[in-house]
Amino acid sequence: MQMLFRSWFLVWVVLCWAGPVSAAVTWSDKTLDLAVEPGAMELVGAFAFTNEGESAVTVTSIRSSCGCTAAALEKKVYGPGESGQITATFTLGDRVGKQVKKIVVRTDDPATPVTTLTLRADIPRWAELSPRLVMWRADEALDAKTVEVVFHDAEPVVLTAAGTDAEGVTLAVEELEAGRRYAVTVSPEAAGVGAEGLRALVRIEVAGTDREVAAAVAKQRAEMLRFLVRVAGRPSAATEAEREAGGSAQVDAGL
Amino acid sequence: MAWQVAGLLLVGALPAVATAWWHPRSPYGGSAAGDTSEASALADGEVRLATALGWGESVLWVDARPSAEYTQQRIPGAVWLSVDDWEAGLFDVLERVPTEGWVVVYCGSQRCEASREVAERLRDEAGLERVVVLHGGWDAWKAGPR
Repeated sequence: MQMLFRSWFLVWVVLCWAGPVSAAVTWSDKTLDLAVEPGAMELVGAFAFTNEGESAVTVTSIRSSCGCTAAALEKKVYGPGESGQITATFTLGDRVGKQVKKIVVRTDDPATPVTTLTLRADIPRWAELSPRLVMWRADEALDAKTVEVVFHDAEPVVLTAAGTDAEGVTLAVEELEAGRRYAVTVSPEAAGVGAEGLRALVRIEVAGTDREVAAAVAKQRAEMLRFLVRVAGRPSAATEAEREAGGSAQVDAGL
Repeated sequence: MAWQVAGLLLVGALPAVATAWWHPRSPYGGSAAGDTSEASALADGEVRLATALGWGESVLWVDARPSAEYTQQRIPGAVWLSVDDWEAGLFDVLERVPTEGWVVVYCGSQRCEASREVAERLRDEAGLERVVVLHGGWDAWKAGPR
């Protein structure tokens, strides 16, 4: 019964208000799919519109769903028959993958007081390091772990070296697919992991990217080629020796 | 004349009643989907404030709001990380991830997407398994646990 009443209200409201008014502002496209060039820092899309009504329309506000998307309009009032466009600039930042950004436009046009515009883009990754954090818990054996490095550049990218800012970690690089995929094996050295644990930042060096890119892009790529190694602190060798001498029951229990 | 007055009252009353019924924040009901309160349903990968507080010291709070809001006010101990400037904040998070605890990401409210984006990237890129989003975000923190 409640649903019946609600449906009746909806029909009534639509009949009363939707009928007499006609759209004044029409948009050529409310959704734009933008292509992303390699190394692009921002995307720009234009949403064109026309006032097809018989009176002037004022754009009262433009609001985007993300601080990363700025929307600009030449002026606020558009006379009958006049066209304009909203220019949306999407700053990519460090975003990757599928992106959907909304822009809400409000006008005094009674037919379409609120219009939602959509910018869509799929931002490719230049490189992927997986995972960016290699961690050993306190109760975990110091077995080697691997970080996979994949390059998605159009040209081959050669991983030339992997270096770290701390001692106590051994790195080994293996080529899995020339110019595309590499494996960096990380082995913490027991002697380097004291009660405080170990922390090391690993940087990957590459060659083969002859194409010039903007300084900002180069910086962004260099930052991308890092991962962190963390080994939780564990008892010193002396303590372990004492524990071994104390009895085998604890060892059997995995403590 | 009386019929005209009654008709006008009816015209005004109908949308008012309809708004009261259908508006997402209607005090008389409204859809659960639009409810931004702490009491609304948890989505996948979300945690309530009371639960996260129960984890105590083993939680790393990650603030995914714009940096200006983070600088102004934040959950004590929270680290800033945004998809706008991912690399700038990522290693602050990775340095502090508890070996046995949880990472709880929040943004401004239940409606914002930033915390979900950050949580997803922490899982995918950093390989972190224990990452959740704070249901209700900063709004829930301000309101306090219920």
